[in-house]
Amino acid sequence: MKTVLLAPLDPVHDNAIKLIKRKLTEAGYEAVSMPPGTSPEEVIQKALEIKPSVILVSRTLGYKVAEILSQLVDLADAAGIRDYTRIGVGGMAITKEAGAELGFDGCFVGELKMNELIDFIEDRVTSGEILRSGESVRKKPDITAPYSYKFYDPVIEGYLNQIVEQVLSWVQNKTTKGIERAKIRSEILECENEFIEGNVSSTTRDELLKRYIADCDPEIQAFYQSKQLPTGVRWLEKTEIDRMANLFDTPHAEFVGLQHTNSKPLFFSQYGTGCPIMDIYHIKVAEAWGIDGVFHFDPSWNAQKEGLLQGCLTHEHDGTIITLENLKLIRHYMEPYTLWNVRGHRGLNTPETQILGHAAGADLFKINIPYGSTGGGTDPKRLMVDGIYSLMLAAQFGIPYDIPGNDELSGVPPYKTFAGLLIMMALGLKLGARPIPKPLLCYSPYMTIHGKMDDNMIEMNLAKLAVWRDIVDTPIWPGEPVGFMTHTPDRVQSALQTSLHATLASTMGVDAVTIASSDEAYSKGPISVQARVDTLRAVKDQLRFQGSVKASLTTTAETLKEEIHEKITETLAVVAQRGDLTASIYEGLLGSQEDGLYPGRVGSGTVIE
Amino acid sequence: MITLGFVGTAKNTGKTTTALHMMKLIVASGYSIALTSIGYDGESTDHITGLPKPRYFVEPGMVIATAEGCLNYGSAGYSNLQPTGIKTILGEIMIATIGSPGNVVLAGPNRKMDVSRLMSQLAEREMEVTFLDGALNRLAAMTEADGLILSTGAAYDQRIPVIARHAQALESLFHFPKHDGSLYSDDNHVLGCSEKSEKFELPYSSVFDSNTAELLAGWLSITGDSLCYVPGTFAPGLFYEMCQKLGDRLQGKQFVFRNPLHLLATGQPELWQESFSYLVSKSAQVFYRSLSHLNFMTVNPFYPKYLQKTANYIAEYVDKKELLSSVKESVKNTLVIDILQPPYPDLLELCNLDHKRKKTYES
Repeated sequence: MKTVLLAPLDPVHDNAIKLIKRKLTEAGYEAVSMPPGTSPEEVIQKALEIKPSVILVSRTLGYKVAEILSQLVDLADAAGIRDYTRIGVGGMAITKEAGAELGFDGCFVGELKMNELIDFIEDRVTSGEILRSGESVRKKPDITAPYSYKFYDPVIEGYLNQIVEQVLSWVQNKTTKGIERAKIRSEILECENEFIEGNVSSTTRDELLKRYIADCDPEIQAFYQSKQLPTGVRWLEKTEIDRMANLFDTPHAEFVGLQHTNSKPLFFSQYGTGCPIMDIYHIKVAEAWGIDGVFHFDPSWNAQKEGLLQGCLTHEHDGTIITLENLKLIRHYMEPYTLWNVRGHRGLNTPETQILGHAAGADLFKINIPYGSTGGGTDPKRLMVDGIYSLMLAAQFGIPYDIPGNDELSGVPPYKTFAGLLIMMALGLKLGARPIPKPLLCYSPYMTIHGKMDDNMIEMNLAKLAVWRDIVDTPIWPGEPVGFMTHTPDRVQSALQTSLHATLASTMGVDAVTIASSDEAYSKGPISVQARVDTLRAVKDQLRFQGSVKASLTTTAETLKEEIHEKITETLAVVAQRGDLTASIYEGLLGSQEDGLYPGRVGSGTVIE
Repeated sequence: MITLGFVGTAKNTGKTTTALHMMKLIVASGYSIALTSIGYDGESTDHITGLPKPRYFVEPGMVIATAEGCLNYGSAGYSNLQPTGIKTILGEIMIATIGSPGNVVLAGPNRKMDVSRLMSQLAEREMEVTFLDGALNRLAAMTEADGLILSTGAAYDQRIPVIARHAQALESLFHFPKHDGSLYSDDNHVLGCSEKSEKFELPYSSVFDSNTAELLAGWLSITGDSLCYVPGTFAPGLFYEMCQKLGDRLQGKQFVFRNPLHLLATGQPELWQESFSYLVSKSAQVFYRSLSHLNFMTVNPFYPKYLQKTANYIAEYVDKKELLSSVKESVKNTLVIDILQPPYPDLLELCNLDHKRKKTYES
């Protein structure tokens, strides 16, 4: 039996030591604890007497306290104890780097994790330890891996098969400038590599760029031809980019997720301040506070112009311009384990966004044709052609795509939105891609108008999640972000609502959740870093509060679920019967003007037959 | 290979600033150089105070030994990675050759035994000079260094007389001779040997409690001329009390300690200095089993001042001229300089290095 000597070097760490002693004893170790306020000399004397395998000390780090801790290490070295004993430290403000500076063999940061402690005692590689490759052992989770996509509802599956056949037949022999540019962009990227290796001349590259520019809108052409930047856009200066290297060139603390007892859901947040550098700050803060993944949000004009810019560009309004260089810069500073979604579910550059996202290392795409082709979005016909091509790219690259159900925010009832999500799933599956539907957990206009949440916000949201389990074996990712339309300018209130929605989703065993910053709805500009931390902390604490407790559906929730299921089936039947998904969107079968939705107009008349 | 250890009396006393200055001199003289740290060096801001810190900027051809977790956190390019088998909190220590200039973060071995292993591996690479940067007030792992450069200053204490007194006591401990007697295969126990070859053994390598100290005092009081070997270390207060208790019975006794750094690890050099003066006054002798050479000392007027109101640190300074002159006055047998207040003598020569070597090579 290994002996562990536990020493609180200040009085306030006595309770932590008692807790560790109990847990180590339960785990089969002989744990010897010393009284609070023990001096380094007393610890060393005790270690000489009992020859422990490990000494664990606990102390809050502060200026001049560091010298006390390092003296303990030094005395142990001088007394020869370190030849047979390893020393670990834990406590407030302790980091791995501080632990290394103080000379400890082990360092326990943040909340007590007994598995890490026991790994240290047993001298095993811990889950957080860094591999030779320089990458953390933390692997990027694959959200879709556990799911078969088997449909449990054959009626729905039948309608979906009909719709898929209709769509794929409809898009045949159709193309758009967006698809052509995506193809040219692919060639340009390949050509860049060949050019670097000396296999092609610069003339070939220039010719490709000329073809690309020919398919762009005049404003984008002006950028390439006369270096004219769109309004509110400027180049990032080299000094601005170089400064990042100095800011983020030291290791940060080991990743600690928001999850308490369960490994899922994963948590995602968006960035898109307009400035890639500010985005990197946001991402680094979000990573430090436990985010699992982030979304790249682009400006709305990015979606409304034919063609994308290039180079490192910053933008004075919301949304960060999609260029390969911006994406690569952002990815470069992201931790290797952070999941990254580059959205391309709307706009005239949807296919090219997938090409650039893939080239920059994206892990996830976002594609939703019905949602992207409504409201202020793209013409349904145009996005149908571009969207199908994008799904093919997602399949080709092996990158899962999520399908946001945010049309609910316009007043569409959930069953119509869900019918759209199911169609997008079926289309992707047919083409070999891996979809992730994202039902919205929110207080939507439909709920408000129809009094569906007058009493509580739990039953309808539970029903909206539970219905998916009856239809198909799929990952579920409530978004986008959860708690939409429950938030107010009060940051505490907003963080609370986000955490309540997020943990409600967690009780239903969902795979991922998108959360907002607490000022996201009311920031009147870029969101603040502090507000981002608000919700991360709130969600973490709420998950801690809730643990592995699961929700079960009330009778009301069961009834709501059945109602949604039935109406999804009815909606799909109508769309299948219409025989043309594009026409169905124009005609409002997946969300009508009465619901609050209307077809998008951007790119109307641009499909090439 | 010459190993230079940069040690300090506290955090922020100027170890890295001194090391960077020496690095420039040594590189300019054409020596191949390897860098490592027993702590964590090269970060742009201090972990605790948040104040800026000097950074290691390295040139191609230099060698570093650092934890693999730190390799990707500097701007310097490196190649020829060699694992050492030495594990630390931040990963295994890797030896790397610098390929392109830039900053590096150094987090090397932190135990005496690991420092020794790393020095052997660097010697195999035929490095001529190795820098071992220290951490805070840690000293014990520095016993492997051939020469030490000790930094003190206002970060240790803002009272100049206290710094000067402390520096004097520290320095005084380096001047006792090496014991050449045949000693001791056993480093796990404090040993005693009387002139009649009667042996005495304490249960531990070190003395940290009064019972153990009394056992030793009891034995020393009944033996005449005798030798006491302390392979670990000794609580300075207990040693002082023991000496006072033995009084005139100390005459003819020899105390052999492992190394001055083992005593300094206890953090009270003034008490050791007092005890040793007392021993000498009673015709007892002090020796070390191995010596550490103190090449020179530096002083640094900087200290981080904590502001309660804003809960952060700001840079503050004591009078730099007064600090330098006071410490110089106290420390008589070792050169004391402020690395930022030239002129000073040939520092390479003090470290047994030839500053004209490059010219010699070129000619």
